[in-house]
Amino acid sequence: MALLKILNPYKWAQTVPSWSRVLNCGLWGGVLLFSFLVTSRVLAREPVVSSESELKTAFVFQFTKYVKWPESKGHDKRLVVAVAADDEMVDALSRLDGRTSQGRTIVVIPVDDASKLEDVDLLYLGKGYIADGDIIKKAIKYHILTISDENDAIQKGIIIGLYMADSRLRFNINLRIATKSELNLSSRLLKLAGSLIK
Amino acid sequence: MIERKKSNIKRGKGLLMKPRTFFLPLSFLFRILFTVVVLLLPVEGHSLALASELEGLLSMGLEDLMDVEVTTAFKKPQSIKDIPAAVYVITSEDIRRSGADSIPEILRMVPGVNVAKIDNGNWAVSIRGFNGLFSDKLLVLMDGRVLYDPLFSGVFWDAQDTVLEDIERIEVIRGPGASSWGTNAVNGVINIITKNSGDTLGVMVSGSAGTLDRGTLSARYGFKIGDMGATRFYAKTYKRHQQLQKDGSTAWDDWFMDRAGFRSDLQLGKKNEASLKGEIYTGRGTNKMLGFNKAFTKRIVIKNNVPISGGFIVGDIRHEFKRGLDLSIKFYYDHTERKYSSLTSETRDTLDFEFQNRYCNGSYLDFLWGGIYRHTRDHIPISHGAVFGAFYPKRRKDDLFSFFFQNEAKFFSQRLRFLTGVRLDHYNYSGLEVQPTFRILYSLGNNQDLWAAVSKAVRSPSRYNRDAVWVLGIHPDPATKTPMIASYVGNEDFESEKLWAYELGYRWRIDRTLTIDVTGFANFYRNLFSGSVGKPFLHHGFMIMPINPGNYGRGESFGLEFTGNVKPFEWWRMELSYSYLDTHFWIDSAHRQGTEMSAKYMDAPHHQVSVRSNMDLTTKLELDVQLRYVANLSRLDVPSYTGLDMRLGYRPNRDIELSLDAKNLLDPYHPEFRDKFLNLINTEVPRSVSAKVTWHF
Repeated sequence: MALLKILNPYKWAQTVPSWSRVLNCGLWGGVLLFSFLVTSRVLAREPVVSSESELKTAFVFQFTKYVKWPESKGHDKRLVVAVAADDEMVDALSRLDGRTSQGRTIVVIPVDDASKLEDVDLLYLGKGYIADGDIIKKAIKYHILTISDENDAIQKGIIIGLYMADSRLRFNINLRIATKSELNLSSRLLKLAGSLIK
Repeated sequence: MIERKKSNIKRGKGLLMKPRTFFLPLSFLFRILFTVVVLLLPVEGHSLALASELEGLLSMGLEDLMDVEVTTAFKKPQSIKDIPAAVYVITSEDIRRSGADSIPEILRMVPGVNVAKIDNGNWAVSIRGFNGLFSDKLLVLMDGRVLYDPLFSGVFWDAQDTVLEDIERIEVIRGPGASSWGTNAVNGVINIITKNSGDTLGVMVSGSAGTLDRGTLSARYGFKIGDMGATRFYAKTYKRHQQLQKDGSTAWDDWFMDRAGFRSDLQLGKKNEASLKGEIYTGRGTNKMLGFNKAFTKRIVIKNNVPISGGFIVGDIRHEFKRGLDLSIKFYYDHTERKYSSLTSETRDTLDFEFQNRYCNGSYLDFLWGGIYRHTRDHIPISHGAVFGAFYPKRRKDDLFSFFFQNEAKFFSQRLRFLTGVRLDHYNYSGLEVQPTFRILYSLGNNQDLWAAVSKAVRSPSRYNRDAVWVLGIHPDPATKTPMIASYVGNEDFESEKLWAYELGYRWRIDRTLTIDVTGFANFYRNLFSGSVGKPFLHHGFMIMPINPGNYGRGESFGLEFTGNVKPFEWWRMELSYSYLDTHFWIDSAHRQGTEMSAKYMDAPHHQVSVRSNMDLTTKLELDVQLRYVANLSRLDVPSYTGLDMRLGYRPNRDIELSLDAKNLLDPYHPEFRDKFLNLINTEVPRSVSAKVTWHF
């Protein structure tokens, strides 16, 4: 404890006045150094991704490991992930591009309408992007794993719905739609789900 | 005042305190220097941003990902492992399983937080020392609304409550948080965050009753507003029995409270989010305190009725301009009234406007700045009760202008993070307060993080410090036989209490089943509240001995906080924590005749040990145990105690929950605190049992 007392800046002020000034100015300088680091570096832009969308991306990546697509879907080397969401989520998911899951290389494509879904394996729909039932019907038809962070996503026919609870990201599963889409979800996934629609 | 200034000059001290005159220009020079140097640095952002935290997340399994906690300790959502501060998050699940029936009781589970019950409505809650009826160095907020009251500098815990099932989480930051949250966040910040109304749809009714709880009923109804969002309405009422005392008497501390409110959350297009919250509450408490008879000749125990009421409205709106750039605007209005029938009363209105702008580029930079204007006005009439207390002037209007910015810079694949920030608070009565923080976090790999911080924080003068006239005691004069009344007389020139704090922390997430978190700190205080005896004078036939407050108190505290989480099985989770605290107070050597006031009525235990266990015996049956050891309070003469709380919960399905709570099983009664500030007669906390039903439909 006696050793820690050396840290007391108010003591420095009494004994070694010059130190306290150095400390004050040094600390102030530190703040400014970093604030100006900001302004100078703002110009060099990087994709903007917040930690919540990164967390969702990590979940999506894990989900691809626990799903078996039907034989009829055909098993090519590519695992096509289609995204209809806000830019931030598109950016985050785009960073999965080129990674491998179950021996297949992930290809991320942004989509704006339901017409080009035939080759898609996984469809991520952001908040406000479940416009109508049409996209859901198409997804079932083409055996697509649908994931969304919309409120009550699974009630709207999405297979995996992401939501925040207890400051953590959780997910629900609509097993009825998964079965309809002929997708086989592993039991581990079902065990971890917050709730299931059977 | 003049004397003090003189002595300061004589001893050539106070360079940190006084030198606004001569240290500002110097640091201004430094600023210019740094500006020039930094602007000359080449722009090479890309070389700094190698990869991102996504890499770390992608290597984690699904179960691990589900454990990643998101908190807002620095005013923005962040995963808890990335924060260079001692942060603890209480989740709604923790609250449900604690069996607690009030907010202070929930806080008992947090390592390093000292919670002591004074009576049914009054609590002493503090972090890192200075615990009292009004813990003046702890800032508490609920949904961004400041609960800290400037009358005595502290939180009136009796008025703070909500439907506990609607609390999303409580974030507890140990250590200074003033650079983000402002003045008075000296030793810690408690941030209570309620659930988004989209998460509380449907009807929930919960009721409980027991030996202390005379009946608590909460009800909430949440519904959707089209596709735009949701709203909930809620109401809560509770009554508490008087606590039975050792000698068979009742403690005169029964309490009731009713409240009703709403919360609405709306998504307006893809770019705008808005929310509106409002509540009104009314209640009445009772307590006993040591006062005086009308002639001021002797001390008597008086019974107090404490009617309280109030309401608030909080609105905020967030707009996203583009990726990583958003703006939040917030306002709140809060009205509160309280009356101690034999002491004093307070009416306070607070109006607050805030804005906050954030820019982040996800990989190496995260910049946040904002401003606050807060207006507060109060009315404190002169009391004619049995304890004489008055505030001059009776009415005050105070303004706060505040500006803050903080930046988080990340280097080397985000392994090294710097968080720097400063908040400038300008009060009309105490001037400009500059509160910077410098934090650094380094990831050692293998889920080990090491962090360190240096911060400054201040506690602004309370209304009591500045304006109160308060009878403290009677000292009979043996010669003249006239009683001499010791009276506190406030000081307009009272300055803010100041702290420089050093922190060092280490976190290791060994695997999913075992995590440890150790934090050490050294706090150095200056300008602490002190009192010195002035010259006695005759007033209306009474000999008055004035006690004048000043800033001559000095203090140091050192401590260590350890938390370990063990999950031996999927169905069993345990948390062990230990906190050590060592505090020292003294009076500045130039003012030997004064007394240190913090040491007089504030204290916190040297040691606290807690073991918390949550077991899922079957899928429907839960057993929760909390064992606490709290060491004695030597300055307040309160012995140590060990408390054991147990809860047995039964959930036949997702919608119904029955639980049985027992508190303080180990002893029939024990005191937890002794209030020497308002001289409330503390009641001993008895063993108690209660039963609760919660029903969702």
